[in-house]
Amino acid sequence: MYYICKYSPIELIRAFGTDMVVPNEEATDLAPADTLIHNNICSHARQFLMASGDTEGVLVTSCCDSLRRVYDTLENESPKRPLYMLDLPHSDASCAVKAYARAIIALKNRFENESSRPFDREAFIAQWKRSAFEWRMKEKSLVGREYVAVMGARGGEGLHKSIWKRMPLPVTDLTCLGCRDLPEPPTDAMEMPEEELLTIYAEALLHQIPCMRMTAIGNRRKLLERPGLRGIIYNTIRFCDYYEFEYVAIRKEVTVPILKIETDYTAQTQGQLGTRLEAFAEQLATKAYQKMEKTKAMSHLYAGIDSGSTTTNVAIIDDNNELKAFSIVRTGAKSAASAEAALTEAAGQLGLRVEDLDHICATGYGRSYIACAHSMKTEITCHARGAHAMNPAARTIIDIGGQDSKVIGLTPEGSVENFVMNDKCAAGTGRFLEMMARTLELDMAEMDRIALQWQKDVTISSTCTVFAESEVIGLIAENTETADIIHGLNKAVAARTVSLAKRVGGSGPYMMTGGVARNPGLVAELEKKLEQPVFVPEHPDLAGALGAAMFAREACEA
Amino acid sequence: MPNPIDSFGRFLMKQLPNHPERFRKILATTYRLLGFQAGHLPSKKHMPAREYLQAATARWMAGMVGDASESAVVNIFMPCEIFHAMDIPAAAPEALATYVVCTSCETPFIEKAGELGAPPSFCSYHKLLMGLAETGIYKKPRLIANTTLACDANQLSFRYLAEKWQVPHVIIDVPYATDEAAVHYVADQLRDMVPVVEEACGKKLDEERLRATIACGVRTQDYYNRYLDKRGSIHLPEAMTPELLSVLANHLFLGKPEAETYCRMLLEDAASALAITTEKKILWMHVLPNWQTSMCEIFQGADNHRVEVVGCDLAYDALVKMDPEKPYESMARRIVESSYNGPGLRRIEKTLEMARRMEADGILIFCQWGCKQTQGIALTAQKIFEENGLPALVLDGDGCDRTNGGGGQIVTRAQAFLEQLEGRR
Repeated sequence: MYYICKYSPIELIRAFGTDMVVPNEEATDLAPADTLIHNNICSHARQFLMASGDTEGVLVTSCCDSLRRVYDTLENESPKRPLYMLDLPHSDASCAVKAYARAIIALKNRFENESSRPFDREAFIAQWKRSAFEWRMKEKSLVGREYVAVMGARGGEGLHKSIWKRMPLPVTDLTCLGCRDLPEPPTDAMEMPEEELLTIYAEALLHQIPCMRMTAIGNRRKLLERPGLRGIIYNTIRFCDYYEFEYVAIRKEVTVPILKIETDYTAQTQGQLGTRLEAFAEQLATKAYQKMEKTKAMSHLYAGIDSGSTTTNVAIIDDNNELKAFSIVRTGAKSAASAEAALTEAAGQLGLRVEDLDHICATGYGRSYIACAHSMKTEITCHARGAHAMNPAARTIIDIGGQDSKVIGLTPEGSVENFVMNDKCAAGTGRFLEMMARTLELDMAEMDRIALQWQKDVTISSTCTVFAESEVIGLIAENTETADIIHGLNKAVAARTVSLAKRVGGSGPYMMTGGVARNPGLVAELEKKLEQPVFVPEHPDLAGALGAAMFAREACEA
Repeated sequence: MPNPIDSFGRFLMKQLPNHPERFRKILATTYRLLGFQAGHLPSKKHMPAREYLQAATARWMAGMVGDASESAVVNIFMPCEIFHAMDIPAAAPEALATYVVCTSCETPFIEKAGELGAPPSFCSYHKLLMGLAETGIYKKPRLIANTTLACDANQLSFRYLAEKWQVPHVIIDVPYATDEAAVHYVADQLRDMVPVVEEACGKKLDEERLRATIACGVRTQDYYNRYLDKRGSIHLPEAMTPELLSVLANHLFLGKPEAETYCRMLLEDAASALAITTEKKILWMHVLPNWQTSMCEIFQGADNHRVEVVGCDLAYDALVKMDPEKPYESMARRIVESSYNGPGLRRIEKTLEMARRMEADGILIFCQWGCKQTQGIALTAQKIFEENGLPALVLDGDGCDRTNGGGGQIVTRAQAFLEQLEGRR
């Protein structure tokens, strides 16, 4: 039987000989669920709905709005299948314990009737002991060790594997499903009245480290208080609101690095997620590069390639980090070919061949596919390094690229302090502005040129590419001046970007990188919203490539 | 020509960053004037009952913005008879959100909630109330009391507010079950809440007064029920959203004389109304986007004789039998037996029952942005309604954040639905 929630009385059901399983594999595609339930329901609930299609029985707790409605859908779509809804209180007070005990006893009675088997107390106690032992072992495994915790909302199996593979330290799962901290059953469990035993069991279940849907969540602090905690990967699920709030609260308190990710229970996010996880792993190991800050007198040449979704940028520097040559080419269908072309062009400016370069470091989305690169780094780390070199005073970097936008907080030494990225959506990215330029029948350069010529303050309320396009078409139909529409678009992108900046706790001085920094209208709107100037370097597109080139130099020095 | 409300909203929003007190005072005065206008210079376009409660509501809103320091902040589903019986203003920032969006000044509050970490998928009503509190427009109350019904957002936004303001916070846990044990479980929690309220507000509850308040609620619901009996056969020339006032009367205002008077007047207005002729009757599920002029133009029944919104399921979700001699059980029963509680099928069946009672032509399922409760049953409900011969439209929109309003797409869908209903003549 499938279940979903750590408060489920799985020991009791297992005592009837029924196997209890959490279907936790990411779906290839959640679209088939759209025919059954609205697509703005929590992604995990939709995955559970899809996974439950081929199982013999399902136990759902009344955890959250999404799961209650998943139960309704299952009941409506397959009424003959055994379905169990367990009424889970929000509180762990004594009246709630009694209420939950009543619900558990009713479930036990139903199992007895349906299976024609009496409740096997001995088997139940054995299962309970097993669960308590598992938790004890998990706790023991963390004693005296440094580890990274995955916290927040549950993650699929693929996500956990992806994290384990990349982290430099052992990883422990402390998400809602990962901390099922049951105590031992009472010593006289075999003798006491059944109702009393199941009430103690209900109490043990409700007194676990609470998940965020419970009313009293103070005990969640325990998760942060272990001495070996060195980093937190905080998972949130698309359209589940519970854990975002906790992330904001603990982000301000914890002293270890914390990375927030948003997943949607599909395997599709792995690419971008991989970049973030690798950047986080690099952040955990920053001390390693700091000691490499020394200069060499000999003149060598080092290249960094930033393989982005829209352009591929190359920077070549010497031993003194001085920019000697650069190139920016459009990323074609194959990122490897674009990288080679950009590298050849930049090296050619110095009368050199690619082979003459001492070290090449690749970054950006296509970094794994560049055969000539000797090393690679994520674009987060490279952007931070490059931006710091361009303006050491900058503390917050706003980078709007072709397919993502990110905000990076820097330490005074230029290390990544924290960062946020937008998710699987073009909203607020260079792609968004490109799409809007196409709708306005302009090229990007033209759009940037007339951005400041607006007269009338037009508001475009959506940064969703689809909705915003409708709004733009509506404004064109109303004969609104193009410059005014562009201004409206810039305002919308600026609002979204500033919101990202505030989430990273950004403070000035601000610096903007990425191709979109060439749009003076957007920079003006950002400055207005941030109420302070935004520094735009001479070559805003080159921050990532420059950072990669600096890492190339350090790699040679090491 | 620029919309004067939008211009006013822009003016207000300019005040907020540097002069939040000025913003607050202007907003309170605006709502006070609206209350005065509705009470003393009522428009002939609106029914007397609606104008009566609009006046009381605007005064209530002015009070919330003006000085909330003596109030108890509650959610829409919280039974407020205890507060009414103790003369403690029960304030609902969710309700205030609907006024703020109609004043076109909601954007900075929603943005503020985003900065605080409210996820983009979070219900906009709750984002707005967080923003109102964080900017200081909504002042610290005496305490917060909310139910876990109807949605998860209550758990998050009210917890956030309680931590921000550091005031006592009572949460009424509403079980999924709708049986007598659940009623007693909730009744006990309401009883336990009384000493907390007494201590926080420095007042004592008079149980006799509480019983009288429940009795007032019984009469109010009786008037409203009789109005609903007539609604299907009459033409009421009014706008799309006045049933939002009935939502207030049957929830936050229930037990107050104003709610009783409103429902009595509504019944009188219905008695003198003309018979309905060609208008298509729509039953609306969930909130109504009263800021959205384009939608209001489609669904207003005043001029075009095409369509009327005859009911909203937030107004009749909890017309249950109450007994003034058992005040706590009566209040508990209202929450537990609300059609918004328990399996989604209860809400679907209640809507079907009301659709038959009012001879509705179609049902509009309004999926408020972030409301998983409604989004989650929307497709199942649509299927069941259509199996029962009732066309249903699932419409994604937002009652208080225009960025999620859907623009022209939502209007096209609504118009096409209306044409579909008209094609069934």
